Order: sequence, then structure tokens, then C-alpha cells
Amino acid sequence: MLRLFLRAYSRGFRERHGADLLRLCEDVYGKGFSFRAAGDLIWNGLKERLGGAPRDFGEWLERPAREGRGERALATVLHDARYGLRALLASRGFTAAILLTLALGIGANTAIFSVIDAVLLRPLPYAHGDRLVHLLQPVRGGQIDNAGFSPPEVKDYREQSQALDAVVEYHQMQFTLLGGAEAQRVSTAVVSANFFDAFGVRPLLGRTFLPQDDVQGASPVLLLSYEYWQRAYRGDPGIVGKTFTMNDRVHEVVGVLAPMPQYPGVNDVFMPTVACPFRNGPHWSQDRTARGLTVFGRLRPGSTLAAAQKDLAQVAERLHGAHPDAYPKGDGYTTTAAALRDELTRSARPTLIVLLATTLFLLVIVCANVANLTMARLIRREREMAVRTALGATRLRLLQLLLTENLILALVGGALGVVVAAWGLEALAAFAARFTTRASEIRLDLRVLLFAFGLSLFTGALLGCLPALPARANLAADLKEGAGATAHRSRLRARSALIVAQVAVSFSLLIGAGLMLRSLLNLQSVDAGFDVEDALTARVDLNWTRYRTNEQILPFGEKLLDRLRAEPFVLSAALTGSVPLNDTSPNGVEFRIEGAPVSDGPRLRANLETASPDYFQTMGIPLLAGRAFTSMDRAPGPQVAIVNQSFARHFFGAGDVVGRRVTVDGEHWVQIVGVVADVKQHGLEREPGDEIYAPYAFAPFRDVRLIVRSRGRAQDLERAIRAAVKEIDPQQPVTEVRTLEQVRADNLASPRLTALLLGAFALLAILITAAGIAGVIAYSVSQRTQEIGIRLALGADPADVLAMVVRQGMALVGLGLALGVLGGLAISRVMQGLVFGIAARDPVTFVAGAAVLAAVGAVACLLPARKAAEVDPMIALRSA
Amino acid sequence: MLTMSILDPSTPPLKPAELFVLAALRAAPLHGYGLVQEVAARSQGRIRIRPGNLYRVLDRLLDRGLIEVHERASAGEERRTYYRITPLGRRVAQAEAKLLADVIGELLAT
Repeated sequence: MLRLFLRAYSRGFRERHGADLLRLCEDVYGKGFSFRAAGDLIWNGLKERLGGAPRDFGEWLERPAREGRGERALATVLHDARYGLRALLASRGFTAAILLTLALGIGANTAIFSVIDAVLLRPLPYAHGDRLVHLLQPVRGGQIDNAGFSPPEVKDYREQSQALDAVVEYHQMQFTLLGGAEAQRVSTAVVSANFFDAFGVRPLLGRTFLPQDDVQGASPVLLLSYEYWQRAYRGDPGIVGKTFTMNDRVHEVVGVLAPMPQYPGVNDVFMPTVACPFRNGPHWSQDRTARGLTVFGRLRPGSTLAAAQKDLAQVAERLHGAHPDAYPKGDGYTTTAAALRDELTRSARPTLIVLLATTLFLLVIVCANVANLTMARLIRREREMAVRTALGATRLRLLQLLLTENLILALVGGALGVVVAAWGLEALAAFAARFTTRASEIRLDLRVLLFAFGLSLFTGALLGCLPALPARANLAADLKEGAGATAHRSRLRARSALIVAQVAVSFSLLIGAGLMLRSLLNLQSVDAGFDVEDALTARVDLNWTRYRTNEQILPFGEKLLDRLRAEPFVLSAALTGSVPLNDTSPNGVEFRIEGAPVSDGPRLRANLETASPDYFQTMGIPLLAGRAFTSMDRAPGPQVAIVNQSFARHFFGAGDVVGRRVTVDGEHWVQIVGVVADVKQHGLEREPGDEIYAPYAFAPFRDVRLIVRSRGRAQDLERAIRAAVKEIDPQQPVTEVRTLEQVRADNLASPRLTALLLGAFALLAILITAAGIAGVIAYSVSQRTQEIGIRLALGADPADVLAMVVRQGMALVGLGLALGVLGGLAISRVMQGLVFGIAARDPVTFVAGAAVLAAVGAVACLLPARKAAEVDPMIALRSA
Repeated sequence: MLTMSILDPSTPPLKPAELFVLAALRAAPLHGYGLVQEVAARSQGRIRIRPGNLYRVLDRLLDRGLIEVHERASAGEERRTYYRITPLGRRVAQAEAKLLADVIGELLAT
């Protein structure tokens, strides 16, 4: 056993003393294995290997004669490593500066890589991930990306598609689950029985759905998501077989899913389609135009996405012919498919690519800066190198030595970088989660560590070779005291080139950050169309088993509003279907205007929203014409509607709107009684759509958003709302309580975080670059001390000297900026989809970025320039 | 630093463990375990050379020619290498001891 630890010693040593050493260990530590013996052998063995490596060149040259080739190479590497470590420890400031920049550069890249790897590069964590497609039914030439599918359509595509061997459906519901400690509102995915087979997902416990679970009359079953099982039942292993009541029926848990990213939504429980009371109602299950389902397909083995798209288009054509009513010609229905993998990450891709480009740019700056520092240090070590050459070291040998030093630096920097990455990863994953559910897969695993290791090796190798290139071993020149002016000049040129590159890349980064910042400012100044102050919103989603009819739902809402209005600090309260600035896509309905000719072209479309009487007042949405809803607007009175300004402008131009009538269902005519100002219903970056508001009392529904405005006490409102709801129905949960200010802030969270990240990277780049400029100018000044001394002695004005030095530095900055414009244009092209309210090639950003960098550059030059101006001619000349 | 051993060919000073080993070998050749015990005894138990280190010490002394292998004794399955001090080793040990003695004398005098 101990023989194994003997391996810590070099082979030569083992051959000389191995048997004796083992014997001695037995004598001292006793027979067999002991930790003390093992520790002793490992510690001393490693010391022997390192200590056995000679201390300097002389010994190195003598020593290897005795050892084999491999041992000799190892001894060399160990020697260089030891020497390098010692040299690095000797100049701590230099080493710390390099390690810090490397850690930041490699850390940032490692962190971004771990996100990109998890989100974009890895295959989907479903067994059939690469064969999964998302079926899409775009309408009106893509104006609506996907109208969704109806149950009859799902059935048709499943039966008729040749390219797909599975077609599964999905929709999401909110149900109340009874039987646990308390009533819980759960997000429920309603899926086909073969949904999990199609995805290739296996359960962690129990089973997934079977075909017999999804036929009429089957006893209801449930699957739990891993996260919900952990959260609500603390991972209870005996959960399978337990029963819960949902929608007035007893459901049995048959399994728990393994942890995995969910798509398209995150759900707590899964049920087969037959168990959903809505999906199975006569309205939804038979109506070809009731398109509310998300549909996925699995490509037949050997089939391609293109083949599937062609196949689906053919099926669609057949369906359009068979059911002309369901597919109006003017609307241009088509059916196509997209790879699920692309769909899952589509909204994350542009941001991630910008971040990757940013961190790569940052790494370039870091490398340039480290190369610069290394060269500065190399200049100080020129005599050492010359002595080594004089003693017989070859060029290759010197390169090897420098390479080892730089590899040590890069590897230690990389290790620190991994720490930096680990530190920032959680925040980054939370950021990525705003764009894709795959963010749950982000972690620092072996692949990421290998990436960091590879990146460190690459950086170290690059840095080790770079400064060595212009190093000519001009012995005679370098050995002479104070000589080697030409060598210095060539070094200065190389270092200046690095500075130009750093400025150029920093400028590109600054452009990226500037574009994002300007977009954010533009978004922030967008008028959402409502008053965000002192108002709270909450979601109240009524349990449908107890609130089935309008006669049950409406009184709940009215009682709730009355109760809240009775609070002394409540100004007004209202109900609506969705709070503005939500990220859902518009729900278009078709309508006709009374008196307008019916054309064959595309039908008129607007978004339908509901509002209780005080809605516009509570939200602070100005009424532009006519009147708001009143408590009299309810059945059996005449149906009325309010439209927004853009609707009025769009469909009525300059004409009168109030008093005109429209119909949505083709039977009932609705009179427009008022016009309100536009509101950003679907996000600050989107133009307001055409809206029709219907009175809540005409079509009350279960899942409502409550909006309450107070006299300066928005935070007290939450308690009041919860108390009011509990008083009316103790079993009714209240969720998604947020102030309208939070709603607005959440809407800006992604661009703000992106701007913050890019800004931080740009700031880092500028700081590193400024340090680089100051370093190079200071070096140049130190080389020209004599010259400057002579100038001053001959009567030059210190101010002129100052200007001369600054000019020299600014020439580099100017050149860098000129080159940086190209990089900036490249980055602005990548950012096209992320900017808002400005052109990607926004001249203001470019000019401002250049001004910032020029100012920073000037300050960086000023420090060494002042030193130059303060040169004492006497001292400068004497030291010559 | 780099050129020290070339410009200045004097050998590095002996480490305490090396000096004790040389001292222990002055009387008679010893094997590894014997050395560990002898050094411990001579230093009144203050220096206990660990097995892993002992052969590094011996390796360095062999390298510099201060000691040599006396014999590789084998009695039955027992196989032990005995080391003995060389004349050079004696001189170096003496020189080192004298150097130390001078320093110690000075220290004691003040």
C-alpha cells in the first residue's frame, strides 16, 4: 500500500532508496498503512521532486546527465515553475495586478459560457429533444405568430401528418387542489396522454400517463412536477397513490416527474386532457375555431424539419378546403413548425450573443493589458535574459521559461476566475431565467471547468509567446549599462500597438453599453398611459367549482369592490381582465362596424378587454370623449363599449366615434359610449394596439385582476385586500400582489439588467485600458527623462512638456478610437434587436462614447505627463 | 541569485539534519533506522528525522560525497543499506562545526 505513495518521489530516488525507505517506514510507523506514513511520503516526495530540481541554470545544466529524458524534461518544467513562482512572488504588485485582470476576464467568460452552454449548446434534456417541433398556425402573413390550435385540429393533424410520429397538445389552467394542509391554487398543465413519451421524459417516481387515462370515463390521475413535489410535499417518497380533490373530483397521484426545464410554461401538476372540465366542454372540444391549445410534434426518425413543414402545409390545405368557415380566406391561415430547441431559447439568444461578444472583447483587453504588463516587466528583466543567453541559454530555453511563468499566471488567474464565475453565476442564471426556462440547467460543471482550464491555457500560451517575439538577444547591446535604445523603441512600439487595440475594443464595448443605456432611458421615459403611483394590483382567481355562473361570480366582485371602497384610505377600486404591461400576446377578436361594407379582405381585429365602472379612474387613464362605464351598464340593459384612441383613429379617422355601433359575434350590436387614451397593454416597447373595453358586469369571469388606488398608502392596501377577500370567501387565495410601480419596474427589469451587465463590462474595460495607457506613457517618460531634462534646461516651458506627453498619449487614443468605430459598428449590428427608440448606429452614442474614452485617456496621460513636466533638469542630466 | 553558484562555488551550508547525520556516522556505519534512533538520541529527542525526509538527506550527502554506501547487508529476508562517512565528510563536518562553534562562542561571550 505504501509503495503507491512512494511514487511521489522521482524515479531515480526510488531506484536508489525505495526499498530502504519502505523498510524504515515499517520500523518507525509500524507495518501496514498509516496516514502519518502516507503524509510523510507524499510531502517529502513532492519536496524531493521540486527540491531535486536545480536552483539555477548552472545546476540545471549539470544535473540531468544522470536522469532519463522524461525526468529531465520534468525537472526543467519543475525548475521553471519554481523559478517562475519565486519571480512572481518577488514582484507582488505586478502579480496581483495581472491575476486580478485575468480573474475578471476569464471569470466573466466562464460565467457567460456556462449560461450559453446550458441554454444554447447542450441538447434539450428530453430524450427526443432534437426531434421535437412546435406546431404554429400563423395568421395574416405572420401578424399573429400563432393562433393556436383547437381540439378538432389537433385530431386532424395527428391523423393526417406523415412526417410526425406523435402530435401532442398542451394548455395551462389554474385549479384549486384540496386535500393537503391547505387549499392550494396550482398551475396545471393539461396534456395528451403520450405527451411525456413524445418528449422522452421518464418519471422519477411512479409512472406517466397511459392511453387509458385519457379516455372518457377514466378515473382522474395527476402527475406532479419535481419542483412542486419538493416545495409542497418536501419530497415525500410515499406521494404516489395519494389522492387530492380537484374540480370536485378525486384525483390520484400516479407519478412525479424528474427535474427538467418545462416548456412552454412552468406547472405544478399535469393532468390528461380528458380530466380538464373546460377542454372537454362541448364548446371547446367540438369548435374548430376555439384555438387555445399549444401543439408539439415529434419528427419521425429520419424525417427533417423542412419535410415536416411541407407535410403540415399540405394537411392545412386539405383542412382549409374541408372547413372554409373556420379558415376565412382573408385571414390567410397557414400551418408550419419550428424546432423546439430554437423556440425555447429564441428570446434569450440575442442577449446572450451580445453578452458573449462583450466578454470576449473584455478578454481581448485583459490579454492586451497583461501582455503590456509582462512586457514592461520583461524590459526590467532584459539584463537577466542577456546574462542567461551569455551563459548558454538558447532562445528556445528562454521562451520556455517565459511560457512557464505565464502559464502559471494564467492558471492561477483562471482558478480565481472560476471563483469569480461561481460568485456571479446565481445572479446571471436569474437574469437568464427571464428569457428561457432552460436557465434552470445552468451550473458550474465539468464542461465549464474544462472551458475555463482551456481558456487559461490558451491565454497563458498566447501571453508567453507574445512578449517574447520582439526579444532579440542582442548580447553586447543589452549587457552594456543603459544601452539598448533600439530595443526599447521596438518594445515601446509593441506596447503602443497594444494600447491602440485596448482603446479600440473598449470603445466597442462602450458603444454596446451606451446603446443599451440609451434604450433603457428611452423605455423609462415612455408614457405607459396610466398613473403608477399609490396603486396596488392583485390577482383573484376564483375556484370554478364554486363560481360557475355569472350570478355567482358577479356578486363576489361587487362585494369585494364595495368592501374596499369602504376603507378610509381607498380612493377607488376596479376589476379588469389583465393589468397593462403584461407580457402576454394580444388576444385579437374580429368585429364589424355598423354601416361599413363587408369585404372579402382581412377582417377587422382588436383586443377585447373588460373593465368595471371605476377602472379608468382608478388606473388614471384619461377619458377623451363620451362617458365611462357606470353601474347601470349591466344586463339586461343595452350593451355598451369604450374604445381607445388608437382604435378610434384607426377605424373612424377624424369622424365621430361615440354613438357608433360594432359587433363581435355578428348578432349583438354594441354601442360605443366613450373613448379613452391609449395604454401600453403589452409592454413599454410595443405600440398600443386597438382596444375595445366591455363592461365587467356583462361578462364577469373568474380570473380577475383587482386594482386599488389609495391616498398615499399603497403598502397598507395589501392587508386590506387580503382581509376583504377572506371575509367574503375564506377559501379564496389572493396572488400576484404588486404595486403598479412594480409592474412598470418589472417590465424594465430585463433591459435594465442587460444595460447593467454591459455597463459593468465596459467600465471594467475602460479602467483596465486607462491603467494601460498610464503605464505605457509613464514608461515612455522614464525612457526620455534625459531628453526632457535637456529640453527643460534649454528653456522649454514645463507646460509644453506636459502637452507633448499628453499629445503622445492622445495620438494612441485617437488611433484606437478610429479603429474602434469598426468594432462599434459590428456590435451595434448584433444589438439591432435589443435597442429601443434609437438607431443601432446611433451617432449620439458613438460621439458620447468617443468623448468619454478621450477624457479617460487624457486623465490617464496627465499623471505621467505631470511627472515629466516636473523633471529636474539637473538630476536628469547628471544621471545621464 | 541566478549566477551565485557559478560565480561563488562554495557549497551551501549544511542543514541541522545533515550535520546530525554526519555526526551520527562518525562513530560507526549505520542503516536508516539506526540513524533515526542515533540522531534522536544525540539531539536529546529534539530532532526526529522522518523516514520520508531521511533518505532525501542521505541523497544530498551522497551527492556531495560526504557519505558513501558501506554495505548492503542481507540477513535472511532482512535487507538494509549501511552508510558510512567519507574523509571529505569528516572534514566538512568539522569545518561546519568549527564555523558554528565560532559563532556560538561569540554568542556566549557577549
